[in-house]
Amino acid sequence: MTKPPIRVLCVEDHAFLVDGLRARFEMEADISCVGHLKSAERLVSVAQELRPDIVLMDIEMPGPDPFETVVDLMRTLPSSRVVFLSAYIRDHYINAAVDAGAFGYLSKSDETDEIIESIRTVARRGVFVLSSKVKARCTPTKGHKQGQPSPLASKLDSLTPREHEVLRMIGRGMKRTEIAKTLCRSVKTIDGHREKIMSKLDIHDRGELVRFAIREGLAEA
Amino acid sequence: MHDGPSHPDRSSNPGGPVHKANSPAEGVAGEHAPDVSVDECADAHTELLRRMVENLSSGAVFVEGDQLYMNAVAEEITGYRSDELATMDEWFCVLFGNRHETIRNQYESHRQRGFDTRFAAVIERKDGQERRIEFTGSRWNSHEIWFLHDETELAQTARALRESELRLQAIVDTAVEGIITVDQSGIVISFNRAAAHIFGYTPDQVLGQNISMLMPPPYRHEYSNSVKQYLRTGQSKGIGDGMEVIAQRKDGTTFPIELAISEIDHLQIFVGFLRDISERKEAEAHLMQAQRLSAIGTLAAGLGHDMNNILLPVRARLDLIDHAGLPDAVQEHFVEIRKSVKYLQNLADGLHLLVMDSGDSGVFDESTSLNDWWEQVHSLLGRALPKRVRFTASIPTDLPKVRVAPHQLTQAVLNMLVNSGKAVAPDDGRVELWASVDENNQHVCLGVTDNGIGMTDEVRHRAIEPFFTTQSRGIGTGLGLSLVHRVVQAAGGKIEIKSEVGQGTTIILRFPIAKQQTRNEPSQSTGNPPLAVISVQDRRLGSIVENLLSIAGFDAEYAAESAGAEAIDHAALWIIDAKDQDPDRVRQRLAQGCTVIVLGTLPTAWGELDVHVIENPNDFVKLRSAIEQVANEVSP
Repeated sequence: MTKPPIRVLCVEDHAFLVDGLRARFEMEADISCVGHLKSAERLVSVAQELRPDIVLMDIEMPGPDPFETVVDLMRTLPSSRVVFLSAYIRDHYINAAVDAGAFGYLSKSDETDEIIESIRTVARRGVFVLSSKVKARCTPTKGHKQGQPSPLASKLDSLTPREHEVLRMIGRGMKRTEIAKTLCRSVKTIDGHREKIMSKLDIHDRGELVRFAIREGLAEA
Repeated sequence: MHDGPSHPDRSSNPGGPVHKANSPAEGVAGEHAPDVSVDECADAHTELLRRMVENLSSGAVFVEGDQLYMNAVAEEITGYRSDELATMDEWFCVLFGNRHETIRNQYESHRQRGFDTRFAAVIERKDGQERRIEFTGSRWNSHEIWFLHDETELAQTARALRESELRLQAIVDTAVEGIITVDQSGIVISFNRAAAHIFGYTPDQVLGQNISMLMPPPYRHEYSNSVKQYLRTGQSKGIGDGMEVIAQRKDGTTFPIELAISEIDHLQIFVGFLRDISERKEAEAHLMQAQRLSAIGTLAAGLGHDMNNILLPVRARLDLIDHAGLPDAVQEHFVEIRKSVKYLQNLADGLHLLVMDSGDSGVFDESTSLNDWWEQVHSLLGRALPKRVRFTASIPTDLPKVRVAPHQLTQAVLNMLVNSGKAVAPDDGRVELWASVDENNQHVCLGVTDNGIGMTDEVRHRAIEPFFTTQSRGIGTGLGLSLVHRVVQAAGGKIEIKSEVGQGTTIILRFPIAKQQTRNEPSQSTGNPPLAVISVQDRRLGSIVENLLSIAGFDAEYAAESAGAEAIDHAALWIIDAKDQDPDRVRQRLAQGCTVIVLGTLPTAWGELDVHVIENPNDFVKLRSAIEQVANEVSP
């Protein structure tokens, strides 16, 4: 008996990228793109409706924090498995993805065949995948004291998902009023987040905070 | 005043002698002023004197017989009104207290000498304060006038002035800023300690000299012209404002200073406040450089990100076209398009490596295969050289991996190539990137050799200093070899610079061979990497561990305990969850030398076991760190 095709929901702000992937999926008999969202904003409700097997999701997108949204999705729809597909291969993203409950982390520079195969592996076998390029970059952190996470990973991991989101918006050059508006919070709340982020990251200057966010690739291009 | 017999002109000679009634002048006066008596005339003089005294701006006491009158200033000095000290007795007794007799004797003595001397005495004012007053007496016909000078105030003022001068001098001497005073000709009048420190001169070497000795030639004329213009017009650039100029030390070296000149009102003396801003200027230059590099990095990150977003769908559609089948006529073009896209993809990957923080050695800081790395970055790095420069790269395929992160290697080599590109002649430039294992088989040498202008010994020695540069602009300027040095140092390697002026330069980076090499790949000695078996119920968790072990260089295999029994027997590392595991089996494997990691809490029933326990495997950072730690211990 033939298995039903793997239902993929793409969450990606670049429509042409999704169009290309959708076309590529059409080459595969067992993979079907069932929907596309430009941000993670409506992910939980749309996923509940479409019931995808795989949510193929970008990280650097406008809107809510993708990791936080994945946590919500895992709570409401554990049968859907999230695979991140990002242009960035960064430790703290990988850590956040695993902690959120994702089943994979792929790079946009991966071969298309590997992306297809990874989707298939996650959907059919329920295992966690890192693509070869991600693995190649994600080598052991031997430079650190054994048993301790890297200082950078440790610092960034100490941020809450909301703080992470605020930091990314800061890195994008958004003003505090803009961040407040986007997140539907008061400016005072955003100021509070910013102060906590600076304290956790041991950063004492707002300019330095922006540079940190940019340097760590938290700023969306 | 008339010489001959004439009537006395009272208006023009109010201070003249008051004539007696029987004097020769009396008749004359009487002829012209028969209605004015001698007493009236004297009264008029007295009144006139009173008025004069009244209007004096200094303290004065007018004495007539035993009566006295104080003007307003004297009233202020003593604190009494005139009518309160109307007689001489009152005056002496009240103002001098129990010393009044002594003072009165002094006064009489002066009086007898015709008041041609002065004396000083302390008075007690009405408010109880004591004041030292200098008395100067003067006789005016039958009247006396004493002039009172409050010496207390003078002395206080003089002392305050002296103290103020001392304070000012102390401030000037301890000021961090150099303070120099010059006259209108530019002659140095004062030169404080800070100025001496800044310029390297002692004050005596500068005082009396022209200020121009502290400036290099072009600025000497500028200053001189500024002062001249100011003296002529009252306005000039630099006087009254702050400005940055170049100054010259005693040893002839020049340096930037911030100078503010102001004029001391009406004295045509100019005070210059200055500070050495060499360090600030250097820091500003460094900051600008860092900001420029940061901007380039941000741009590169954005570009790499966007390229990936575009290249992925392009590759996906190329797959489709390929899958659909192409006529032979266009197949060749299709292959070329694939190559170009691959080239662009390498470029995008290279940009990502480029933008990562070169100082961040903690994230991806392990082994790099130079061949794989070069495959990824050659498109990008080749661009670092001018078009007509002949560039060759020879990286043997059998090189062991080196202990440096690929992004750091990319940044280091990019800087070396940029430097070489600038050093070689545009038409005849040759640059070679090469690699080899050193004679001790401990390091891989990665070198860049060019036939450029070479370096002098001084430049060669300073080449790795941060921000040292012989160039004025360009990517990586000033941070180039410093960054390269930092990368090599962080990797535990060394940098070597060989150069000869006119012949060219070779820069060699010696990277330690990665230890992981021996287990990450089929090695010559053991043949296979160590086997790790994962027997964990949670499939997702098990596969995460599998990935981590694979990254750590193990041949990782997922196996349920029954199906993978054979594999477990051969595993160097066995990862289990405590659930459904037989402790005897664990003890057996431990006895056989296998390392065991338990995910979750160790059941108390198992007793003492020499296993590694990761209590909260769902915390990925801790899981990853613990796995790596154990993997390091297990690795040969």
